[in-house]
Amino acid sequence: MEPNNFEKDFREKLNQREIEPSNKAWDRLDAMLSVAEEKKPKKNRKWLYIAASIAGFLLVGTIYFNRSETAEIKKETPIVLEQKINKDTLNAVGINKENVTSSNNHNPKPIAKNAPAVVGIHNQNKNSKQFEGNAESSIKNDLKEDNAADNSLENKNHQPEGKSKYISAEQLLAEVNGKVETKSADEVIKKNRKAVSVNPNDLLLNAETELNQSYRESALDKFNKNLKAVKSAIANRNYEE
Amino acid sequence: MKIISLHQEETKIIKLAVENNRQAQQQIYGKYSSKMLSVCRQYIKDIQLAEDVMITAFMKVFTNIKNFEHKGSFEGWIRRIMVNECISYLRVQKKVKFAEDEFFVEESFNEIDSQFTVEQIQYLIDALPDGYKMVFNLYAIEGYKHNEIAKMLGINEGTSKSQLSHARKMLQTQITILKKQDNGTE
Repeated sequence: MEPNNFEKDFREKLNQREIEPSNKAWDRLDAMLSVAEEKKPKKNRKWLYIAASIAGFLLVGTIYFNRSETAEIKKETPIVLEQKINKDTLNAVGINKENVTSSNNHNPKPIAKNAPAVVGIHNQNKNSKQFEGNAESSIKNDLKEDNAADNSLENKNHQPEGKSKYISAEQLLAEVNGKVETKSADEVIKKNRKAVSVNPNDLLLNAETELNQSYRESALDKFNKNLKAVKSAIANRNYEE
Repeated sequence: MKIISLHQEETKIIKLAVENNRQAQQQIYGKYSSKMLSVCRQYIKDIQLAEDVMITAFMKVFTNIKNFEHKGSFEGWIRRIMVNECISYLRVQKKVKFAEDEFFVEESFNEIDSQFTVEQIQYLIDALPDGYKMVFNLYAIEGYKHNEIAKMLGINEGTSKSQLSHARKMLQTQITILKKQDNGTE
């Protein structure tokens, strides 16, 4: 089945032949190529969207988890410190230690034991005087003298956290001294209620959850803004092209 | 030296075409389109349809140009795409079917010494049925072997051989008729 002579002749002549295509042929091919090129960037856009969304989720996730870690640390430290302080107040009835508690209550950051001393001093005086005023005669004379002024100060500055702590300490003091006397039953009940309601741990937890929530919202807002920016950038880029 | 520089120029143009450079694509088209239309015309009688097939084949050339390994000739690579496109056109659009007979006669037509023009040759090929035409073109003009043709067309090797045998027989009779006409006119 070798190629015949006439087949060789056919091959040579056909391979030499050239037929010029019509002028429209290139235009048609050009149009087809343009269409094919337009289709390609669409695919790229999809990938861009997917990549952008993945990056966004990663960003949000890392920020969120970092935040929750720091929050946990905060939770732990103040609780430990407060417990210590409470023990101290229970054991030793000195006013100095109570002062520490008061300063702690005002400033939820536990490390600030020493720093807020200035603030603490004001509060110390107020609070320490309150107790004694309430417990009436049992405690020192100096404090009694200042009762009136202290009460007025108290009314101005509402500090429920401080009150609750002091009340408990006060009661303890009274018990230690063997004088379980209070001015009026109503007041004690009120104070006790406050003491029950104001749990420092709960307060801290609440504050932290609020912080977390507000942070999450702000992070979501940021994310949305960024996403919009990315979308517009991509859209502009495509138009530019 | 000229050949080397030409080759380098071609690889440059191919690289540009890979990057969808329209000018490079047009250059390639300008260089090969007339030859490739001739190839398509071998298989498809209607020149307009042949041009359509050539355009779709060129689309394939440009979309797959990144796959071209600079091993063989670029022209040969394009030509193969053209031939495949023509075959798929005939098979899909014209639904050419091959009679699965394996009857073929080993004959030699060496005594026929044709001195035909290209137009006459094309006329002879056009007269063949599409099945015969495909096998004849692939075997005699493109130089494929029967096992390759069988793969390309999805037929048995024997079928390819019998198709070629039939094509040759038909051509022989046609050639003798043509020769007689030529002699008559001379």
